[in-house]
Amino acid sequence: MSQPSQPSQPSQQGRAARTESHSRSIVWFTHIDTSGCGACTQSVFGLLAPHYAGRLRAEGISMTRSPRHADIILISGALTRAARIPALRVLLAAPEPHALVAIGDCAINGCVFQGSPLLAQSVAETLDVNIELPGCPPTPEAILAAIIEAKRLLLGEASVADEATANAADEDTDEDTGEAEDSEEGVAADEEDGEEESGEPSDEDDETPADDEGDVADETGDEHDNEKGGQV
Amino acid sequence: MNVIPGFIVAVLIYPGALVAFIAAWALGWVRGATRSALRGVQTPAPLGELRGWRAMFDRESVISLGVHPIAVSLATTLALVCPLLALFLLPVPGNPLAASLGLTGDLAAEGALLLGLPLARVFLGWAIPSPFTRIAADRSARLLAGAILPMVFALTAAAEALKTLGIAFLPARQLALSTAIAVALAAVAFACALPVLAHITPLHEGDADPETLGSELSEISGRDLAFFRVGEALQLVACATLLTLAFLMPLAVGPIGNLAISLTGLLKRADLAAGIAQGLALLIGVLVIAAGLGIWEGVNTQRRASGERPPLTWWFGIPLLLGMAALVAAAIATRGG
Repeated sequence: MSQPSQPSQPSQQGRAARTESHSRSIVWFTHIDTSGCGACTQSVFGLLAPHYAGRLRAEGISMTRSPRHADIILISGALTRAARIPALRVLLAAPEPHALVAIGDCAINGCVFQGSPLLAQSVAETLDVNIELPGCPPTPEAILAAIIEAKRLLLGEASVADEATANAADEDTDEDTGEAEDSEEGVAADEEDGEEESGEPSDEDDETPADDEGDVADETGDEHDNEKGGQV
Repeated sequence: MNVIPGFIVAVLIYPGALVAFIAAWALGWVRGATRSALRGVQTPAPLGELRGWRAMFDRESVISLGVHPIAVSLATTLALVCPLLALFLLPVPGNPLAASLGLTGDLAAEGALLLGLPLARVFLGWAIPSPFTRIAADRSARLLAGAILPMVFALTAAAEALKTLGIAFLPARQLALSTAIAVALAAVAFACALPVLAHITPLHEGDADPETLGSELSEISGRDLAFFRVGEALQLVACATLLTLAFLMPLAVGPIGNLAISLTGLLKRADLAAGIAQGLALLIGVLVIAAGLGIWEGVNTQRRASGERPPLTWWFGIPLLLGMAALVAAAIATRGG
């Protein structure tokens, strides 16, 4: 089964206090597809089947159409040059903090489209992706696991990956921090250097949506969102 | 005490806001459970809506470039205040607010306040420079235009038939047959407007209308969105309570009286028994209306896609006809031989 990996901290941009709120027991996710064959999209929409309704409800997860309402954004498909700016616009529309999950091999490394001159860098390299879920396509079950992982990151809870890392650290005392593979639902996760287990914000990301915001503004010249004062 | 300070004091001491929010949650759940049962999907969790409201308040409020924050604040405030004020001014037992203003409930004022939320939604959709919100607002405006006339006709007919614009908790005596027919027609006409007046904007993929990509609320988030959602829940309570108080309970004076008599035998206190009977009737009325709306929504989602049906369906004029019939019936009942 495909496995989500590499959870990094959700984009914070100075909004740490909101991240720690435990009232975010309900999260909404939305999905964007930048290109590809559409198989990942079908897997995502497979979550709307009644088979998953009970688990989604139990986890407080629902799918929304508008990125304005989304806490978690799933992005699938290879990132083409034409899709880069629209994808960044969607990310800018989502309220902070949000988590970005790259779904499928195309989003991670381009898969069969790798090397095409029409592609920008991969989603994982271009955007501030928190979780990568390989697979061609990943199953709805794996996507659900990735969403749950993203929800934990947003809640600031110790994620499955964090727990696995802690366990691995206990077993191998020679390493201060390390990479670990989780056994729960086959989730494999790599802990990035500099991340804290509590889900506190990390300022070490090289490229964040805040950086991309400037790019979008430069390239489009008209796309920005206003934030209402005092509501952060 | 002067009217204004009296009203402010009454607002401060009145527990009605809390009761209204509890009722909004309960009726919303009844509506959602009925809708889910008809669609064959899982019933929503009882506390799911409350958790959803809380999560919305916790999100960041972001609005698009080109929208003045004051416009959004105005719309969201109207969306919350109008249904709440409509509820405050309903003469349910123990409501000191209406009395502090010297009112006993007013059909015209209630009708106007019930239009506040749908109008705020349309205003917001048009104010945001997004094709999705604008299309959704256009659609809502058309629906609202179709619902206003039946609603106004229904309120006018009820006022004429009952010979008052006030809203009595229960008429003193049973209605004459001609009057009862007029009120019943008015009740049906008002009920036809309910799906528009008490519309809940679909935000989740499973609930969303397949014909539209977005809603008027697609571009707002956080507290603004939460205000709208809570306002929509309160609007359901206000609509259901008004329909029950002004239209249904006058038709049920006999059964309510019989119930009160039966309860008097048990409780040994006539006034208490009458109060309990009326309260039960009000509770049953609002629950039935909430479930009825859920049934309507559950059935309505199974209709054909818009490409397969004409833009004006065969029943489009029926609410209007019912309203007109109610007006004529009220005129006959009031001034006829």
